Amino acid sequence: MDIVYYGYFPTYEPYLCALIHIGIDYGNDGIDSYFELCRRYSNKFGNLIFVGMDENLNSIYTIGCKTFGEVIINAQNGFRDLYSIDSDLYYINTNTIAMFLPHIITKINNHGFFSNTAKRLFYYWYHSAYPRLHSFVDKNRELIREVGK
Amino acid sequence: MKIFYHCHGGAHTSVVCAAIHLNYISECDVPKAHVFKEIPFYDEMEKRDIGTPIYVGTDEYCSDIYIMGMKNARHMVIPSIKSYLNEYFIENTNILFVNALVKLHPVTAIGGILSRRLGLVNLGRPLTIWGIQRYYKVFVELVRGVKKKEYDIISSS
Repeated sequence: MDIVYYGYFPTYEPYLCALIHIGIDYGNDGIDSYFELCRRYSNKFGNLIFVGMDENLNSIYTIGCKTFGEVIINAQNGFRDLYSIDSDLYYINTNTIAMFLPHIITKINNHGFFSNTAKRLFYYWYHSAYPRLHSFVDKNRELIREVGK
Repeated sequence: MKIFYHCHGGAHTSVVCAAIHLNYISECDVPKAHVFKEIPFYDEMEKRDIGTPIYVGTDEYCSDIYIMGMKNARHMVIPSIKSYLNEYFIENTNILFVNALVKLHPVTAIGGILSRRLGLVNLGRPLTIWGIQRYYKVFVELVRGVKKKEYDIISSS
């Protein structure tokens, strides 16, 4: 099964959910590299990003689709049928738990100035979003297990 | 080869282009309103189906012709499809996405909103047809260009 976490941006909530799902924790040491990843790739909308595989060998992806999630889901499911790809697609919408802060951080990053402010906001976002996303992922893992049964 | 005509809602311009491509309607003359109404899938795409590719027919080069709605997100939808196919090592050289929204008459846009979004089909559908008839030659030219490209791709492979 392919599990796709999707949201407005590819690298904030969806990516962090995907990391939690496969059991990677950036912690305090890796947070700078995560910030750099967000700075570079948060505007890459529509690209399916492979993050890893979970313990049940499901492939975990993220995608940023702004508010067009439904259209992209229909398109990918349509092509899955067209090319008879036998792996199921399971989409998880992270917009329901998304914060507004990534929009501000991305705006600041796009501007180029105040990068320290962006970094501080990013740290705040990361530490406040992580516990919520962790319980969100746990709930969804339970749902996926039930779907798989 | 697979050719996907896409527009905003997948209900009007993409359907007309696909119909021209498949010779369902004439290239030479601007068809009458009743001819448009008889085109399969014309003004029929539901909102929940936007994004789903719909098979319309197979052309003279044995290419499958599809229609799709992509809202204003074609810059996202197309990469999402290509990146998905890449994950399964499916080559996308034989896939052609054609933007059928090259020229949209404002009346067609209004008609589309009335018919598809507000459900006023009797009022909206004739308006979409009227607008498409005004720019019919543009769509014919687009399809001619697509067929030329299709021929080039098929003959080079």
